Amino acid sequence: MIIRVQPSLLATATLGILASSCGVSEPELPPYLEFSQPVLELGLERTGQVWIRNTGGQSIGPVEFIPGEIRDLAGSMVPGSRLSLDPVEVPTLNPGDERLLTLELSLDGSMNSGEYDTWVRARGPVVSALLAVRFMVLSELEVAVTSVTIIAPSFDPRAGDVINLPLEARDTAGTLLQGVPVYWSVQPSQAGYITKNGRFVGYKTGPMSVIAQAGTISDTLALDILHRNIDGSFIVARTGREVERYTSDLWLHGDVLYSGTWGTRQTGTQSSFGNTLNIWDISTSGTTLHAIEKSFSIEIDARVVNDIKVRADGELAIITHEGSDDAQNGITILNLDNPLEPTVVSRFTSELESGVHNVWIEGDYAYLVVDGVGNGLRILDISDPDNPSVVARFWAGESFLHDVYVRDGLAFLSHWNAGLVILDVGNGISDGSPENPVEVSRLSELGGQTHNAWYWPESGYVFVGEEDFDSPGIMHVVDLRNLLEPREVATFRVPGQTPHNFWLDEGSGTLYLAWYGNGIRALDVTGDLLGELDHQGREIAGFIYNGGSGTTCNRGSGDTCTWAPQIHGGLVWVSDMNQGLVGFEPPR
Amino acid sequence: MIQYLVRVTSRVFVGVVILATACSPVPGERLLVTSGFTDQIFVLDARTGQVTDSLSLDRRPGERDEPHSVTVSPDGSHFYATLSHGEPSFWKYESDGLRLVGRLTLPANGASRVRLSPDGSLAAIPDYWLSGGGVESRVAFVRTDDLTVLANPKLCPAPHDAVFSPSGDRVAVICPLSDELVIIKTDGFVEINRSKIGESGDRPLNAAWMAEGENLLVALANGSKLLKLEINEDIHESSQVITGTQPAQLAVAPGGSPVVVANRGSGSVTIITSDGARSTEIELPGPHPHGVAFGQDPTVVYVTYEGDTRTLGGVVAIDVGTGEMLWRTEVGSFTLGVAVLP
Repeated sequence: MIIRVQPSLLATATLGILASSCGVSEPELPPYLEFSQPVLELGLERTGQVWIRNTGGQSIGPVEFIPGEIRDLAGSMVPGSRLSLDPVEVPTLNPGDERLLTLELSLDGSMNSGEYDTWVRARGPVVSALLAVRFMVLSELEVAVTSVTIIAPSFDPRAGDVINLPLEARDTAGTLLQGVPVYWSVQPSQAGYITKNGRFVGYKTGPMSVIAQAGTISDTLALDILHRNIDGSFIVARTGREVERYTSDLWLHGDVLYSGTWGTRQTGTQSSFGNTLNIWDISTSGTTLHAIEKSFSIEIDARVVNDIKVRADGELAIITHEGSDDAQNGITILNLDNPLEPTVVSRFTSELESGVHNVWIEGDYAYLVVDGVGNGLRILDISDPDNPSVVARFWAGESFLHDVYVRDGLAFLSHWNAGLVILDVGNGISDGSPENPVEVSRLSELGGQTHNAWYWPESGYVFVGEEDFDSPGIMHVVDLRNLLEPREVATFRVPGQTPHNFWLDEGSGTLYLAWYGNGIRALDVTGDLLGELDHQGREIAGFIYNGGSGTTCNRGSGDTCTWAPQIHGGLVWVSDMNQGLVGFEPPR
Repeated sequence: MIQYLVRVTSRVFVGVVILATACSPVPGERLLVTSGFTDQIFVLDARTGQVTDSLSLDRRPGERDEPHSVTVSPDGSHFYATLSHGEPSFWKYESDGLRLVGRLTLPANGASRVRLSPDGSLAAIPDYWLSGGGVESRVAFVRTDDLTVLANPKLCPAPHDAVFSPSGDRVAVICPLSDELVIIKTDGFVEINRSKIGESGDRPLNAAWMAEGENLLVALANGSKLLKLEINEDIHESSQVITGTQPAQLAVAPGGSPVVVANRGSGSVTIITSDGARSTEIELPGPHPHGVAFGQDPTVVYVTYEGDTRTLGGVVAIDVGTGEMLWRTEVGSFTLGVAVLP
């Protein structure tokens, strides 16, 4: 473009404007965030308010408010308790602007008397501010108590074993007292975690003490926490190389592995897209390292094939579309008469135009996760795969649905910032059915970004992934033994990265967690679960099998970037965004 | 046959150019281009098409968030973008340093375009709720200074574009699922007019006001044409211009002519004189043209193409007088919006 400007016009056009627009101004001070006070002492209150201010010279935004975990004075995290913030984010703060932040504590009923800490971080793009928050939990102490005795367990617990410690409190007459408030503590302070009901889990091996105090009377129980004695290692047994496209989810059935593809991958000058379902023959057996090869592929109108599921009878599969050229997205149903060379039965798009992210198949019904706020779940009758039809819809009223898992007539919706939502789709507890799903309960206080869930009916636990790339996210254990009152009881974290998908080997009680740049993790989830599982020696093995920093998932680099695991044929298969597929011999 | 169009050489136009060149060392114009499937905004040198920078809007690296629309404030100090997926959001950047200074989570199911009022103080963002099953959704009016939602009226199913009139007193809201045009008064954000436009199923998607503020051009995605509507107390269709298939975005050159339409279906752009007397269709080198923007020079238009599920997207600069493609840059995947940063 060449613009020729007549000199005579220069003078007449913009002299006045030039004076102001070209003037030299003082450099602005950078933005600076400050809370109105560095520490908020709530005492026995459960709510409080504080101002956040931009005292710098430039605008800043968004300013996110990140709540910390609630910890006792010993530093142990309290599961099931949470600090809620309103707002959770301020869009922007211009210089001198301030906003009021309201804090509200939601406390688990099992907390001991004592002092607790948490914090709030106000995080902008370049600066942040920290607010310390302190509060107390206080029970009325029983003064009539003259003796307390902790009943010792009949065995030495291992780290991670949850035990209930009975306690006898008596008055001067020697009468056994019921319902006496007791303050429990652990010495050394971070050697374990105990609730106000004497439910204890050891974090560190070796000698330690549990102290129970009622009024001015106390008893100390010495424990010797044993090593959990679990270890193992993943051994690579198979690899399936896919470096042209990013790999997304996988599903195995029989001797066939199906894997989706994701996004745009650039290799040199070549770009490849997530428009393909890859099909791999895994029938080759053996114990030596063995590479499997793609045997077939299907290209569809999508930029992301995020999910693939095969029905339990192996007769059909469903793949999801996002970013299709025709903007219709939806799903494609495949006939698996020849499982190594599926054929397309139909594509269904009605009410699915914004994209389908995940799918679950249960008999004649497909549960579809439709992208976008306001869309949620669509349940599809696929009894006639040529002519599927939407028979039910559900949206939790806020945020968007990310994933669905169906088990025992219950649908577990990982509903992002709405939390975990449980629907009756045939369980009977709320008279629900696939054509009339009924909400049973929900747990919204899981820190948001609820991404995936696995329900283990035998134990009553749900393992929930929080996909938060900033904080980063963790795995939450939700106790669902009472279907109407789900409550968080434990957590597991791996520093540096956020978790992705899970698979539970229910026979051995080993939970396999895909953890992006932190590879594949194997976690012992046998027995009761309480507290911070990553402090309990429960991790059997973790493997960053292809290198990488463990703190990022460098797409396109070849580094480890684990998406999803599945146990099949004695191996733990994982899909890896960068590398394709890896099959491991399990660590136990 | 390529029609040669009139080059605009008005004093006003030249004055703007002088401003840009006189404040040395103000850099030349840059293009902002949204890449919907890599969650980025690319920054290009508008003269050469060279990519000079990129901004990540990737809040969820394992998911797609789709930066959709981008626009620049009238004074060039800020630019704004929408993110369509996840929880839709509205992003504010300072042009100086390309610095993020704000982000608003929108009360919306799917954000599409963002348009600014002539003074830049207001943004209009329709809730393009495509999977809403025909449920009426809203247009969010956001104060750009502090990103406060001032109003969020429910208007029609899946509105896609909401364009401020040149005087800023009205907003034309385009409703593709109901084939409607709704006129909103910005004083109070109340509806003052509504009309069916085109034939049923024509799917109006985007619009542009003519400079005099009385005529509105609306692209009919399924109708493969452009409607010229007189917007007074009533809404009258005054003329139609055939475009390529599935016209998407359109833009009116500074000075009022020509009008350029990106034809998503036919892979072309249509260049039309403002009186509709002459039009030219030019084939683009990539599939699915989508975004259109002019900078200060009315002789050059920038057009994005989305690419498809096998190819990258890109952007081209076209001399609207000759139809010559000045440069082409392959950039982004699902490349959608384009805006010019002075």
